[in-house]
Amino acid sequence: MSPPWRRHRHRRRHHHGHHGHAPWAHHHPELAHAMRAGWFVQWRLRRRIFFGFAVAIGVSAGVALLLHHHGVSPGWALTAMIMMLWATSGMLAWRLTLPLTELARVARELGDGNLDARVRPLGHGARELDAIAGAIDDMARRISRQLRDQRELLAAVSHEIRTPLGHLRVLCDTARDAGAPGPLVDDLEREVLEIDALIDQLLASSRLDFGALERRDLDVALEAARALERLGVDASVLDVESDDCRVSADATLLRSALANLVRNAVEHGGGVSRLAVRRGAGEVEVDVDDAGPGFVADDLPHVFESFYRGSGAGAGDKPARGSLGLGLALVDRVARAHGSRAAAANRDGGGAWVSLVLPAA
Amino acid sequence: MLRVLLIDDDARLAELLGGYLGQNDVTLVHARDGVAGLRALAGDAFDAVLLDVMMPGIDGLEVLRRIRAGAGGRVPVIMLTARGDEADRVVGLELGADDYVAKPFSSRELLARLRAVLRRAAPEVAGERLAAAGVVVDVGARACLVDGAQVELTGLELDILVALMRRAGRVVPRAALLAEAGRDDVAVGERTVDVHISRLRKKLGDDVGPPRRIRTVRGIGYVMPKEAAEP
Repeated sequence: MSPPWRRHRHRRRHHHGHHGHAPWAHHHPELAHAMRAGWFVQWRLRRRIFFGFAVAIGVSAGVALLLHHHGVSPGWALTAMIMMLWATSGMLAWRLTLPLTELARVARELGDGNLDARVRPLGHGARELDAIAGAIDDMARRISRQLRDQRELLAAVSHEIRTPLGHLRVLCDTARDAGAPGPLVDDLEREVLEIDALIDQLLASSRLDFGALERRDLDVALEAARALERLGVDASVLDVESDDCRVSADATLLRSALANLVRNAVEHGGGVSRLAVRRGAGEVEVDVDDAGPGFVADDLPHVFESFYRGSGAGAGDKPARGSLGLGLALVDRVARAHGSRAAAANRDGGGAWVSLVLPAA
Repeated sequence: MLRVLLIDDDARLAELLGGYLGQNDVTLVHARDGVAGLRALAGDAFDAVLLDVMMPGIDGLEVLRRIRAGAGGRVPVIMLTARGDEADRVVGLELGADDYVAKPFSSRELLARLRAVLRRAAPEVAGERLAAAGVVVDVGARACLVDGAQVELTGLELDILVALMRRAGRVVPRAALLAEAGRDDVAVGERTVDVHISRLRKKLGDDVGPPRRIRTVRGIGYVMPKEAAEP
């Protein structure tokens, strides 16, 4: 199978070839099907309700007349007719709404982000509702495909942007060796790393937006060691307190969250003073202590909010470099996407404490 | 002059990296894909291989497997990993690579890792001095100084210490420690490593209170801090 970025190039060319003359139906035959299903559904439903009630009224009236013919008083015959009408209407309504509850269930699941939800077979005599079910399933498939396409495109774009970033880093070192002013090259290199970190956050963020988690067993201790190494932090701050620190999590998201925890301590907290990993009841907790002044008390309730920069930044200040105020917000979103939580506080001895909890494997 | 083979589909990176490494006495030979890389390895001798993980055709992990399975399979390999979705399945060192560097990497860092890998492959380098966590080791003279005082270590203890110090600040997996120490010929289990580490700690005066020079990373291995921690 060709890699995603290659597949995308191919797909883009393919689409351009049809641009201009193709109606929507050409690209989306399933949409055309759904539109056709629209009048079909209306016609079938009306017909069914009309015939249903016509038969119910006819049969009830016939029974009432028959009863009256056999000497039952008109009052009783009318009562019997109303009761029969009531019972048959109830049955009709029940038969009509039963499949609708199934459709409602699927619509709700789709709304909750489970794009794999599909309508179960609705049973006999509901061809018009089968058509609605087909339209809903088509819609779910189409949304799924579009989301997957978007994710692949984002991955491809990220890859394409990272390639020249890699070149830039090599050029930075070459410039240093060629005698370019050190501080200038350092600044250049820092910007390159900022862009790289932003791409990381974007990828993680898009994965969260699309709710596309791919869970597997991961050793948090090992991932934490790698995060420290990647960000150039001495791994001796790592304190693994339990033997089994495996979680069931999405690798991209877990790595992003750990990187953000460490980066936050490095950039805003004067460095990581301790990174502890321990297993609790059914969960694994990662604690990062930093060596900084801690959070401002007013900021504490907001540290996990996107774009919140803290009162320490002051009016008119630029946001913290490269963070876009997303760093800790992303940690929190990653935790919640795994059905878990993140927390932050100031330690008694000074410095901040940020914790990420994930479900154990 | 060292000869290093770069297997990567990014020709521009090869050109730029070749320029940088050339200034540092390393000749870089470029192969555009796995097949060309394996062909180059079969036909020529290289001191080390830089191997990109994400390549069209056969990927870097498969290339690594074939390098290790083939003749001359002991050539040091540094994997160049990307950090996107596709890199999720990369398991770096466990696959038999000697080291890995995440893209976009610093060429200086890459050069340092390259030299470290080559030193491990040919350990007899005279005059190499290492310092970390208050310990100084003269690798050539096989002498160890702790806070300025000479300490006697056995051969294996010194090798383990050197392996930790060469990667100071990074966690060295227990299983990899003996291999890193150049002692993968010794039939010792992972638990035996723990015994050697505890003897080493005693000799380095690191057996009172929480360890400051050689720290245990439970379930993974050991790490030596670059700087000595406060007692």
